[in-house]
Amino acid sequence: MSQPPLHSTFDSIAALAGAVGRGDVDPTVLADDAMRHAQAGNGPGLFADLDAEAGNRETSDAALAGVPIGIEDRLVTRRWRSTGGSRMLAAYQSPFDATAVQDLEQAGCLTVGKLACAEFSMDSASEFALFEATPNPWDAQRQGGSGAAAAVARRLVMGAVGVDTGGSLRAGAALCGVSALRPGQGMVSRLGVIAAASSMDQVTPVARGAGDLAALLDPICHFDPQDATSLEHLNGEANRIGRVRESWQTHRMAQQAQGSRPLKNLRIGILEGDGDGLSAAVADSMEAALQTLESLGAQRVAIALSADGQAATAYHLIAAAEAASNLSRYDGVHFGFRAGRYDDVHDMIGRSRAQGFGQAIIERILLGTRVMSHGHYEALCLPAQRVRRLLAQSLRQALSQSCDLVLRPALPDTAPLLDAQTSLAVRWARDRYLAAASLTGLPALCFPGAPDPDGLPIGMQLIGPDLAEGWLLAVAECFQDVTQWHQREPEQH
Amino acid sequence: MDWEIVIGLETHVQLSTASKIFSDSSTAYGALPNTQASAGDMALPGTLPVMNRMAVERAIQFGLAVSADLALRSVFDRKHYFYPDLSKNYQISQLDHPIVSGGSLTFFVGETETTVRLTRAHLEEDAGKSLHEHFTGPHGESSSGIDLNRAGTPLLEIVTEPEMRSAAEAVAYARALHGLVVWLGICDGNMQEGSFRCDANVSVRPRGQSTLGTRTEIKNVNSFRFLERAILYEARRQIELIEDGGRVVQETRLYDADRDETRSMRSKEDAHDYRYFPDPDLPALVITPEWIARVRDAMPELPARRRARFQSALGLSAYDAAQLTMQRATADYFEAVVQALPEGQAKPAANWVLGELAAALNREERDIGDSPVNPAQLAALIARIVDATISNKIARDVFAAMWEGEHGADADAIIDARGLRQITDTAAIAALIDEVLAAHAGIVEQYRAGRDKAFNSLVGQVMRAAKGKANPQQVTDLLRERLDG
Repeated sequence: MSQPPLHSTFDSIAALAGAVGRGDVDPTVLADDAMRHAQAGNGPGLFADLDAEAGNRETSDAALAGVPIGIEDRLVTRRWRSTGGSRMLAAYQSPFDATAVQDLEQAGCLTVGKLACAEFSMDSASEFALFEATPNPWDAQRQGGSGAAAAVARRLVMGAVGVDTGGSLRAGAALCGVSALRPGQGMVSRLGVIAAASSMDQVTPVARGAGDLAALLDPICHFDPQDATSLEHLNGEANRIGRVRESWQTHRMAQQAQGSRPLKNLRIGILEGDGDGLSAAVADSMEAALQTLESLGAQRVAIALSADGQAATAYHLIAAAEAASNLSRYDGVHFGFRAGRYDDVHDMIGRSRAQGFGQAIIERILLGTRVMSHGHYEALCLPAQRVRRLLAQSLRQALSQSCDLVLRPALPDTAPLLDAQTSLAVRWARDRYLAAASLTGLPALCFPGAPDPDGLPIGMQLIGPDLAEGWLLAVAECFQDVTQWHQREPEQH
Repeated sequence: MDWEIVIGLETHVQLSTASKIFSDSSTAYGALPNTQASAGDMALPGTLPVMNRMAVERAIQFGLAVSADLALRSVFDRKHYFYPDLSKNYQISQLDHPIVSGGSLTFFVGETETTVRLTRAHLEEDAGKSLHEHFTGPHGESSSGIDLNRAGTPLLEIVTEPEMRSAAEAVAYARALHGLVVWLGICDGNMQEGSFRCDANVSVRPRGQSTLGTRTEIKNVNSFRFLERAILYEARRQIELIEDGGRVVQETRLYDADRDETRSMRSKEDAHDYRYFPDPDLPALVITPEWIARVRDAMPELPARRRARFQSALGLSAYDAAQLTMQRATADYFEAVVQALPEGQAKPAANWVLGELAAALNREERDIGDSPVNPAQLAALIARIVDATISNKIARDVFAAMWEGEHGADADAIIDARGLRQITDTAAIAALIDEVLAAHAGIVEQYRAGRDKAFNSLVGQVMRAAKGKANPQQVTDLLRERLDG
């Protein structure tokens, strides 16, 4: 298709929505165009379920009318199969929509289709199980990490919403050169999230830049009585639609009032030791990002955190334990995949699980079962929980006393090759920068920094205190005003 | 050797909420399979549990009723085991931080008052049921199936200390607990439908030994009678085993009512490692003192309190008061009878409710709520005894007629229709006495010869002549006057 998608000719969701609102663009035309481009541009590891007739085509005069978005397959939908990336759910049809999906459709978004993810978003580096692994839009030999991030990078959709548990969407955004905002724990309803690790599963929007993230996060960020862990209030502030948008706009206005130094007085915390183990390109990109922030008025301060060194290990132990528990419902009895041959009902359960789960998930389940089992719980799970508590305490303390926001890279290097053989230990170590937000429940925004010399994207990550979603958006947007890395577009193949 | 039986009970009480503990589907019993299973009950991907506050209120009520400690913060844990009727393959329960701790229950075993201490009571969800009969698969073939209608029904598991010493005591405890939860209105008490299920932990030890013997857990006991028989069987089995030189193995055993025996279900060796851990989908359950106060204010008068009132205000014996307060419906019925009678007639009212009425109800296995004789009607009958219109003996006949619905169970109508009014006219009784003395000169002679029994015989003859309707006291007085005067 020679013409780019119509929606991609707009710089931002706000620009597109504005054009629709003024009547310059017909949302029906926009929808048809988006559906056609999604079909034509689809490839391995992108849309998992896409049917030109299945998208929600109702147009409305809502704020995001006509904005095409994709839904990562970790969220259940009535319109398409809901698989979680697992053979266990290859043909599963949900009787209800995830709350976040409902919210975005109500806000006017055109939901185009379901986007591929690794099985329950775990271990995207090894295999995707049900789907093919997503190739990187910038180098098809390399990992893209997430169908949602890759589809946004390819401009097949203007944004996507998915689930970040241990950082899969933040990592995907970093690998593909787009942005993702993992909101604070309890801010977005988990109803409809295909659970992996419940205490860390977090509905997360992915888009090109911060302004687009604000547009997609605001409608889904509210209290939901159907999710017992959803927060009604946090530190006296109501968790309601409009909170993120208002906070973002207030911070933007404050920045503008400071003239040429919009980030004046902003203290950016840099963790001691974060530079160790970074590739030269990521270290350079990190330094460049800091200098950009400093040029905007921010200052860097060094901070230290307790227990951050054990964060990745603690994350993986807790995630494995919770996943082993959550995934025990996939047994071939009530719904989902069932083995073809078996002796009795217990054999049926065993065989269905052995055949329905991919290898990486089976390893997680075995690990998680061991972590929770008698005698190991005290030795493994409780210390991991202790690390989690310590880290949460010290990160919140640093954010209230030493600095305003923390800047870290998302990953220690650029996208590995798709067929890279790496040990579990190496893969876990790659999560060291992502684990903190997952464990502490603090909001974290991942955005593209300067790419490596070959043009491969590199992602930076800003972590903020509780309720800082709007603040993170404003700072990232300020950065993006002067860098424009988020508008870089890979060559279409 | 003299053996002592040690029993602890774990009772699963289904809480009578309209909807399930973590979903909004109905808990009503008896619907077609899986018509009351929501997406959450089926553990469909993306579903989440939401705590039903009505289940919490029922747990609070129970805790208050047994004077237990209520945890202001309690925690839900996941208990993992694979079983086809457990849709998530874990059960949401409470392990280390239950909502209710301690407390006790006081009740009568025969005529002896006993108190059993409770260890804890915690909230959890029920599982579904496996169907093996009358079930067909998608192609009409006979098959096993799962019914998830019961899945997620709220349960309160109430655990006692191991301090009961006989099957009779265990049954008395279970009956008292059953009475209490029905009294509170937190459980419908229907044992056939599984609303009230007891598991018994049983061990034996030589009397005088302080350490506990190895226990077995008996499951699947769905009536008080079976509970008693299962404990008796199991204790005898353990004693015989030890006396034959064997050892009791810690295990779970199933009671088979048809064969009246317990059978091994699983031993400790293949016991599950339930891998408990706090449920990340549910925050800690927080109860405020204000909530507890609101629940307390809305609670009915508790059986212990009512019992005390029946003793102090109505002058009943401890035993009668305890019997009358086993069930709230009985206590309510009794109070209604007392209300309808003149003051000071509580004792005959208690006698009638616990005696003739209870016997008639038992005979027909009816609940007191279905009694064909209502409290006002029973009071009307008792009033006729009190005012000497009829004797106690006649009253039993009248009651039988009321039970059958004669004259709309109206005591006065039956008395009149049958001409049962007591003869209290002195002249009429004197005339009857004259007839009897004339006809039984021999007995009169025996009396005069000093045989006291002869007097009773004469009273009997007069009563017979009066067809039972003469006032026995008047007959006695007048007869003595005639013979001794």
